[in-house]
Amino acid sequence: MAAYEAIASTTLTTNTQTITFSSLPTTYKHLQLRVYARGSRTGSADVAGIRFNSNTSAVYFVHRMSGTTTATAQFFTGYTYCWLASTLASPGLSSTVSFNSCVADILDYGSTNKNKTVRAIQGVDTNGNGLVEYVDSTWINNNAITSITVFCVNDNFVSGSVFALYGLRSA
Amino acid sequence: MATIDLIAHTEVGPAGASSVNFSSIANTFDDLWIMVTTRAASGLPQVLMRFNNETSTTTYSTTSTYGFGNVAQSDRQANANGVSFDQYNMQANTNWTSINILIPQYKNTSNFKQSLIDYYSPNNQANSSFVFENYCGGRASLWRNTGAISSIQFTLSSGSFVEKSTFTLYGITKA
Repeated sequence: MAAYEAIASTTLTTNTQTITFSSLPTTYKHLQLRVYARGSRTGSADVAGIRFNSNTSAVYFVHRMSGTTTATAQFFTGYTYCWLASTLASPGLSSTVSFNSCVADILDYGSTNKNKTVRAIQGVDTNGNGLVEYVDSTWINNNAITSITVFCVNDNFVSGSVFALYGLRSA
Repeated sequence: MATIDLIAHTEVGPAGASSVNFSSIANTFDDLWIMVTTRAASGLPQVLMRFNNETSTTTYSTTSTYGFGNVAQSDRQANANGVSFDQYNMQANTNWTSINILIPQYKNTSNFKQSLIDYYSPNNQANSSFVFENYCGGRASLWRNTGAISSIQFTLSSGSFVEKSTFTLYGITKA
């Protein structure tokens, strides 16, 4: 039995704001989400967020360390979602068509006695703009994660964006 | 097909190597993942990664954030001739730079190619420029070419990779 397995994936064929992975299997210890995405927002970059079990309450907090041409560290409490990307490539970021790359680990997602954490590295470069960041988030909830919702906060993910979920076994 | 497959592995021999090349990469995967451990034979050269032997000085760009000692910095490099990685472990040092590279959607022929890089260059030896400074960071890079990636080249800005440097290429397949 493989220790790392593909669970599900979605490749967008139309611009879409929300992608949900539901009825998650309980056979894995950890989850890994790999995202290749771009937003359709004009005027400025967008944000990619993630929620668990459709919980939209202000029970998430975020810590990120990022770099553009300067290094920044920030901490936010009372958020209604975890961050996957604070800067999602879009026409508002650059006319160069780039997609963000993100790898997010969701540890011990089936635990019923731990708040859940998301540890992600993500970035995008547009030859003159861009960002790379380590973003760590917490969902203050002990429930097992049964569904994951990835969403574009202000507009849509564009066609061609890819969302792939993987499971890691512990035994 | 497994979710992660080994595509190729190279370990540098006693003579060292000025470059390492993964060629004829199959287009049967969704993403590529590369793990590198390396050290330069002399000096502090940058590791350069290029695709499809493209050495144009206009097609690569990188945004970086990194820390060394107690300093955090970021910078951006546009119109470069490759994706570069600093390594501050020195010739006489026994430490090795570790580089983890994700190249998503490498066979996509509609979009430019992104790389997401996480790396660590330990250094426990002083010289005139760097004193006991480890170096770690992340990089997001763009190759402004819509061609499918069929080969990947690693070189140094000067000199050679030392013996026992390793370069391992995996393919990732989604559901």
